Amino acid sequence: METKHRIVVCCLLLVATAGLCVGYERANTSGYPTPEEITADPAAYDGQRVLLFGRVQSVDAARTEFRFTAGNDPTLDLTVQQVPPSVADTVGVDRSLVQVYGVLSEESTVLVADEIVVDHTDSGDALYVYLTSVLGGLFAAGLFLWHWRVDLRSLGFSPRGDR
Amino acid sequence: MAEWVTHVCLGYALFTVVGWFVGWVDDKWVAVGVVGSVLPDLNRLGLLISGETITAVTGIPFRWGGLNSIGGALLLSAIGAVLFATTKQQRRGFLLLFSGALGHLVVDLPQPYADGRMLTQQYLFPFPAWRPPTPGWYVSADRWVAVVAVTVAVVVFLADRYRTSTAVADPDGRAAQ
Repeated sequence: METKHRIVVCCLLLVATAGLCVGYERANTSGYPTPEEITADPAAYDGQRVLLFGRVQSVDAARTEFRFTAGNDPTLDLTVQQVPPSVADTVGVDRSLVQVYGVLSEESTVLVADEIVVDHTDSGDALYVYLTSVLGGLFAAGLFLWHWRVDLRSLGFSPRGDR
Repeated sequence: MAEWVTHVCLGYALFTVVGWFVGWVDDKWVAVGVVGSVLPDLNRLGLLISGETITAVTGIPFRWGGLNSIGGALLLSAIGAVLFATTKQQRRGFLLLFSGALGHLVVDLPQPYADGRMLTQQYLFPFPAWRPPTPGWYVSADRWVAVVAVTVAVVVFLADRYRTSTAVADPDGRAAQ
């Protein structure tokens, strides 16, 4: 395939990929209301079951509930109740990343939890995931470039020979 | 989703073993498969420029999460494949990249979600959602996952070196007769 044809095909595929990301956002594949939708009309979602991903902001003194923020822009701030002791003892205020499945109430300011999954207990877990991902990315890139040459003139890969 | 050490190690192990049975899957094609095994996580480009920012600038709803799906795996593998020089390399490149990306999605499947279901509605996009129960084996921050993956990769690497050395020492396989 000639370079100009390769560039055209690449551009078409990139447009298709961008279209996929647009379709993905429009589809809301989660099947649950998003933080953006809830924030727009909080009272409408009382009694609805949701699955929210977000960060723990603070745990109350009795360790039965915590303040929780889901979404980015806008954010949805609420209180998660019925937190199991095993979860309350695990999460802290150090950017714990959790998933909460439960029922919204009180104009979506309270989420009564049925189940909570702790993805990151603290910022150390997040750092671990980022660092190992960088390490893995470097390994993949290094292995590829050991065997393949990036030819900038033809915008393509060619094997480095018998390695 | 698991971190990348796990994905690249399991990808390396998988494609190295495949190479024992498929003649053309040599080290350079194993490397292509390893790159494929991180493709779905290109949705982390959202850490550099968020989907919300793109939506605000363009006015079009956009989410990088679409890349972490079978549709994203197909398109990203096709983009990668086009960059190989010959038609044969492009076919092989697509096959390895897509297999690696599919392996990535499979490795990510058994993670826990609070509603007790797999995240298949995301991974299958744009195909219809189907969400079986998840066994919830690990979260991305579990250290043992990377330890297992690295161990598997090292064992396969050593076995591969042994196979290579015995093939060089005894090219006709006469020692086995």
